[in-house]
Amino acid sequence: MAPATGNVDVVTFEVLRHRLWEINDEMALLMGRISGAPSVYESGDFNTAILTPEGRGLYAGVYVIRQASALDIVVQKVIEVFGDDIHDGDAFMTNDPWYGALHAMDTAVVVPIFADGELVAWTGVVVHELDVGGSRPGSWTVGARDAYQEVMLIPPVKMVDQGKMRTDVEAMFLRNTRTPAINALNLRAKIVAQNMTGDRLRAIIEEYGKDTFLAVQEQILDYVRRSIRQRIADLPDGTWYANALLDHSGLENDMYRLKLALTKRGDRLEFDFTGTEEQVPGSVNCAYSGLIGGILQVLFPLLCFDLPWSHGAVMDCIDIISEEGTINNAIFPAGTSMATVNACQSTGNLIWEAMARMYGCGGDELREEVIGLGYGGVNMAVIAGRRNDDSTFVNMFTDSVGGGGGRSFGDGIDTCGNFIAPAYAIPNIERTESLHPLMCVYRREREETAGAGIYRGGTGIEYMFIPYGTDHPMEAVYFSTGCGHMETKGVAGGLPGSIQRNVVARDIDIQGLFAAGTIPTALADLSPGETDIVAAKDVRWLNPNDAWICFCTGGGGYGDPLDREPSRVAADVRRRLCTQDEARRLYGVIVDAEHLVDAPATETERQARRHMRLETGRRPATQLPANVDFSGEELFRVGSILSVRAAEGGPVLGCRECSHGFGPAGDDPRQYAVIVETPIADLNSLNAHADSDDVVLHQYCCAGCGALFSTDLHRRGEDPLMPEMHLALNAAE
Amino acid sequence: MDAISDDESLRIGVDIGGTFTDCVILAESGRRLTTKALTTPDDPENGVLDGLASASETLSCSVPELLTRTTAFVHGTTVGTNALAQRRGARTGLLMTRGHEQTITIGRVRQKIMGLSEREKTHITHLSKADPPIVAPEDIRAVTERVDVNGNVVVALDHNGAIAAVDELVASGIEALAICLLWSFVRPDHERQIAEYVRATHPDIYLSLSSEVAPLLGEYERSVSTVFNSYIGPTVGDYLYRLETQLKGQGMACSLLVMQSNGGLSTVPAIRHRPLLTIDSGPAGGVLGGHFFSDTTDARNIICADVGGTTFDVGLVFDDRVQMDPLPVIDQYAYLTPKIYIKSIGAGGGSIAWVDNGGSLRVGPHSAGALPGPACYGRGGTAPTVTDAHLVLGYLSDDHPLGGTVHLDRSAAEAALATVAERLSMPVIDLAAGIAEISSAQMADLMRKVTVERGLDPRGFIVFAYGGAGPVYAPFLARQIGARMAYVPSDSGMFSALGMLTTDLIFQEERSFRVRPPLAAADIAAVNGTLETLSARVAERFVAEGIPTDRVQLSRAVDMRFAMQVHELDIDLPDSDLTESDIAETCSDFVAKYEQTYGENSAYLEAGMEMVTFRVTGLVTLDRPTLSADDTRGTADSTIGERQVYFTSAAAAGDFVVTQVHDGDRLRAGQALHGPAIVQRLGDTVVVPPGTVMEVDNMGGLTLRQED
Repeated sequence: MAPATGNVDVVTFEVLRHRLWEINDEMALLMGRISGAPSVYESGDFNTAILTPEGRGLYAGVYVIRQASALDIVVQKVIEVFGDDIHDGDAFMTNDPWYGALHAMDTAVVVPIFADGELVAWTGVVVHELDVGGSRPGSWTVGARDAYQEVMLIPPVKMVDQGKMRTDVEAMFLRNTRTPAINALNLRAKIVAQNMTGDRLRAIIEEYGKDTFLAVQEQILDYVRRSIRQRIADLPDGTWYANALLDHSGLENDMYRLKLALTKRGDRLEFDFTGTEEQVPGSVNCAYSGLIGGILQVLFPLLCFDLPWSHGAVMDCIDIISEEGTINNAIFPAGTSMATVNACQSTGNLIWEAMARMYGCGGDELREEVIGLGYGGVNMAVIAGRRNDDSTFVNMFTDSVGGGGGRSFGDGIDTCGNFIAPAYAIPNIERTESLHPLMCVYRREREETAGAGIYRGGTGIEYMFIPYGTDHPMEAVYFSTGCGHMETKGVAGGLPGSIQRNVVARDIDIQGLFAAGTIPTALADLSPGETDIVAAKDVRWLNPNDAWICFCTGGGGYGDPLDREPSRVAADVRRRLCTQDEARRLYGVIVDAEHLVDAPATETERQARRHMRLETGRRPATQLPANVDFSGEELFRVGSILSVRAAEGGPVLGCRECSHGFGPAGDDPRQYAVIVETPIADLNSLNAHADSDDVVLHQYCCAGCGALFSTDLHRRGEDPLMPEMHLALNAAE
Repeated sequence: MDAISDDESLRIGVDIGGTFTDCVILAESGRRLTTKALTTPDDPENGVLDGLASASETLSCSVPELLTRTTAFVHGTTVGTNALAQRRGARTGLLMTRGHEQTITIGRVRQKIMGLSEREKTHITHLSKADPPIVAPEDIRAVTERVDVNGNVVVALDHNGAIAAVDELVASGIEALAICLLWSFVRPDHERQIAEYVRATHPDIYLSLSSEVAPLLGEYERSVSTVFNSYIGPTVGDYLYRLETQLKGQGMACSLLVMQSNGGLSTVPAIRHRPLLTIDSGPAGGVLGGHFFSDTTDARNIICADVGGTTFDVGLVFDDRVQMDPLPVIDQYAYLTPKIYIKSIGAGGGSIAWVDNGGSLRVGPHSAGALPGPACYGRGGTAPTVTDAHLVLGYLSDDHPLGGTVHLDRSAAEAALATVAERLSMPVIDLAAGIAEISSAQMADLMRKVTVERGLDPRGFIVFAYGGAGPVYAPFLARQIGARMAYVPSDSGMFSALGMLTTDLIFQEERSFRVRPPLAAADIAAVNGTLETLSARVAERFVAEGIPTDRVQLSRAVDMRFAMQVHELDIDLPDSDLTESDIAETCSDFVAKYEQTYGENSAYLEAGMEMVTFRVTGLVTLDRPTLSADDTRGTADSTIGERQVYFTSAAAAGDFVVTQVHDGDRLRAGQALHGPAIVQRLGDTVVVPPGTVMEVDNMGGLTLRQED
């Protein structure tokens, strides 16, 4: 058989490539079956991976991607710590972020796979444990200052020693949790699943030989590397920028800035996080593991959409520049118990945003991958309490999901969830009600959450729970992001989704409403004694007569909302995903009482809106003058409406709608924009619940025609000309 | 085979597939006749009647004469499945509890990846929920009512509001209605009260209640099941009614029996209330057939491998029991119904070989389908497929029509393969061998997955291969998963139709009802009460079909799990009222089965156990068919020629080997062939690689074993 690039023939390679993927997936299926935690079997908050003998990831599963992508670090640290003391039948466990776990709850178990006494691979399973102790149920340690006040961290320990469970270590682990039975079941599940995977890998060796098995691993990495490099090489060189806000440290209700400059040079990508804020007291920091997890959780979907998710290979194609001691590369003893859904997720948000901007300059295939920033943070609660029979319960409410980002070819997915957890599910509420003394009064897609665009973002969810069937108050630990600003963002001129929030409505007399035959389906349907807006990270007691309402952000849109097909806006109004007011305000579409488009009124409104942008928008003094000829041949498109065209003095950037020339292609298009500043509260009624009016939306419009080509969120006083991109084209192109 | 004689009574099995309608006519003597007619998607009964016409021609009788002699007519229909897949079912309205009416639209969020392949799942930015949705969001209405976890009414049913919602939907043009209210499987009153109105006022609207269709916990999957039932109800019901009327009109005295996805048969009136049970029921026939043949092969563990042109279906028989699917998925919708486990991937003879951007050879998931089909069909296909590879390797031949009808063009196959071979700089033959190997490895991966995820070792199974391309793949699949034997039945191309003749009349009732052993006397009484109710319902359904209850065998089972888990194992219960010691015994059965499935010490007894779903199955055994191979064949040599066939082995690089070709119709029971050999039968070709011995059994089936 003809050899491929490595020393394993193409057929054996393809056979084993497929089989290893299936084996990793089987490991996850088994894990899900045996686990005792609804967050695993109902929501898929776990992941699995197969790694090389040196701990380079070969395959990550389709569950929570970041959990598997940081397993490289776990295995490499175990090798470093245990050295020669790694044997057939061992299993190692850690929940320490400085040893590759993402945060204390994401307990990793990794297993070395031996054949004939030789280490031939590693497997790993990470599960988000419901509780691993600490000051708050669920271990989201609201109010903690640093690692010492959070949760016990366990650097790698040998949990199974050559086939024998170390019950002393297990006992220590289980002593420090509010949910020992579930954690014990999960621990068994992790070990059983990996034992079966080990058998499956050894069966391959039996069939193909050890050398082939090892060579195939290298070849998978090589194959993925080559494919990624080709994909990157086809893009124009340049730098694309992104910035993110993260609100509430767990200790202080402040906002923190993360920054990224993504530079594409030849066939490599460089991720430079310089300018990101220093680590903060509180629990939102992530260690280096979280930085890696945050990057890879997005690069797998965006670079490897048709390739194996091999962490080892992706890492070989990128450079990372990050200062130690920053919020997404924190050093011990930074608090990290909320790392995953905060600094780690914000890192991922930077990657989504910068990659979407970069892909907007790519060929047809990659332009299909351009997507607005969708729901990615968190907006949940862990609730703990007692039933009337005095038994206790702890549950993480995983019902929170936001909308997916709008895409270059269509709307974002409604109630999509976080794309970095593709197999995530929300539980049936009958399941939740059968396990815990709460009732879900409603759960629906929330109007006014989706980011507007030619293709809008998906809608977020809203739901309401009431204590039900217990007379004891219950403790709710809230952990959210995007309460003071919008965490989702539009791309290519699309608008961000709404903020998200938790609200406790006090003394609502729900029994009275029920008796009167009324089922509330919105906060407005209640007449609470008090409406208690919960901070992003907060703790509340819920009394039997209170209700908890949670709404989640929708996805960011794609493209200028004034270009959205009016009939699609009307359809959304009919489905109550968009209000008539939103239709007019965000889309300039006039929808009548019968939910039909008033076409002439819409056309007039839209023209007026474009005109108004040009009238009211700012043209900052620092802007460069635009005086270039933009009639040359189009070289490539930029985002939705801009493009780079050939010109005598080198390629130039401009608007393809009105052929207004901006300037040299290497300049940031924002320098030539008319900038419209909008308070976020003007976008939808939900944003009125934001903590302050500190954040504003900047809309960057073509000075020629008023079309919107870019948007961004900044704090008041921040420079609206923070760059979006700088192409680095050769003059010859 | 000898002709069926004029006076024999007949049993008929008809399975409608995408392209062909297969018809098997089985006589008392065990002799059988098979026909294939083109499927007529718009009026499927025409395809059925065409098949019968062609059979009666062979038997030199008229269709009415044929039908008069028929004592059982069993039918597997894809009418419901197709209506779903093509969104050609009835426009269906849905009523749900206020505040939860978007349940089916939200689809538990995971809908966006349910049932997708590896490649589809990892292409994150292109995911979407089921599109178009099976029920339009505009056709969903809220009903004000609420029942709690214990069945207490928290908010009374707003009867007038519900009536208004129904009237509004009907006025807007819905043809069917589904009602799924929260906790209705605990307390069905509100669903029933609305149903009473609908039946009285809108009798033409097809109606399904979740408390009847799937009285199980989980409002999303229950709502999908209920909507499916209504969506396909009118289509399936009308079709079966038309077919039965036509058959009876032409003299058929027996009832038309319909294949259900749970592996049993139903009558037409019964299935009209539960058309959901016909979804994906066709492939179930094959698994049942595999199970039936397990007696002859003396195997208790069977992997059923149905290889078609575009789809590869796998089913399992473990420890002599057909394995069921805990959560079937169709078109990204997970639903709840007792269903034989069938896992499908897009792979088969039509799978296309290609080179990806990284220079890697890939096979599938794209398929050339039936049109244009593989390059060798000569119908305009230019992409190389697995069938092209099989032809070039000599497994198939240009002088033996595929499926008895399609003539193959070797040079077209070579030309198609050459385009890919050039890109990889490898000889065409090596490429063909590679494509064949990758294709069977993908199928083997699926076979491993379905066993391993149940904690089973695939090496303890035999491979039962059928479908048009199954016989070519059989030895390779067995070798890949390390099975000791492959079995290829006769009539492998119409095996599902035959399998349908081997099963029983089955009605099942189940209900979610959660208790945690050890049980107090009151709990035991409640469990017994639930089982009694379910048994009575099963009995009622048989009585409604005019079947005396003394013929019905009832069996009881419970789904159990550890208290915090969600995945359940089904455990048999004794037939009589349960006692405390029965409960204890059931619990220890569960622990034993759990450890057998997931390994020793995997059970965590401290978690406690739960019984969650109780199920009663009523079964009326139908006469089992006897299948006989022809034992009167001559002793003439079965060899009809020889050709060059390419084989690889662990010991040597692949090469062409001179291989005897045998006529399958001349093989005798007991005859053995040592590989390399090729057996050409009317509808298929069996490959016997070197080192493999093939034996013919007395039903015309072929066993393939590795020689020692």
